[in-house]
Amino acid sequence: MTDTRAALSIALLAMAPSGETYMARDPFGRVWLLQPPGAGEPLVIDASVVDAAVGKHGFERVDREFTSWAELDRFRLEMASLTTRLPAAEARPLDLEDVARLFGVVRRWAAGGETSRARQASFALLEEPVVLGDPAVHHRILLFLKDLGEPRSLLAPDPGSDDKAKYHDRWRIAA
Amino acid sequence: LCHDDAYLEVVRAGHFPIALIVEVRMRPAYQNRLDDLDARHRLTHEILAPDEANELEAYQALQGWNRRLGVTIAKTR
Repeated sequence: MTDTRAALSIALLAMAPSGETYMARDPFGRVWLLQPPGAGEPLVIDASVVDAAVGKHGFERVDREFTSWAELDRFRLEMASLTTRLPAAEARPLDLEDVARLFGVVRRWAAGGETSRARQASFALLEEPVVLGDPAVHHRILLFLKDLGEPRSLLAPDPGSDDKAKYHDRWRIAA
Repeated sequence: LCHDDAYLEVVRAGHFPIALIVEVRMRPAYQNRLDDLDARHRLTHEILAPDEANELEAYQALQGWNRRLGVTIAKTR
């Protein structure tokens, strides 16, 4: 029984100190290199790569077993939270290049149906000093917001009852 | 660790002047992810997972190098 459990365990072998890239062994003995989404698909690697990653590339050896991937992930994130932060001096106000980059994300969110999130982010962009100082960019974001439509909370209530119908009429008159 | 179609990040490269870095390349999908994390952090003020926060801090440092030192952030294929 104990042998079966050991054979089915998952092991976190090594990880980058920041936690986003790590190497793990699955219950079938395969060793995987796992990177953040977008950085590359999971790869089956030779077990010797783990030693190279630890010896040459600053990975931390962990060698700890878990009974599920979720458990492994919780441990990995806990370890990642201990990573030394970069100096706060790196934080800087947004410039127009940042705004263009982040506005691209907001547009992707809207295109993907995340309109509420896109709207919230657009309002945040409008408050940025660099956007306030550039009427053309400000106007562009405003137009985008207009195209997104009204938020659900500002739409007319569903006239499912007499009271609701009254509010609905009042809203229409006000609008 | 690196092949034609796969690579592994270099986590520590020792001490050398940042001015020697001319270009940093990353996959478009990964840059999109990092921009997404940046927007979630700065615009919608979401709480990121610790590993996401670490990735974002590194990316913000890279953006700083781009502005201060002209390090190019290029997309790979």
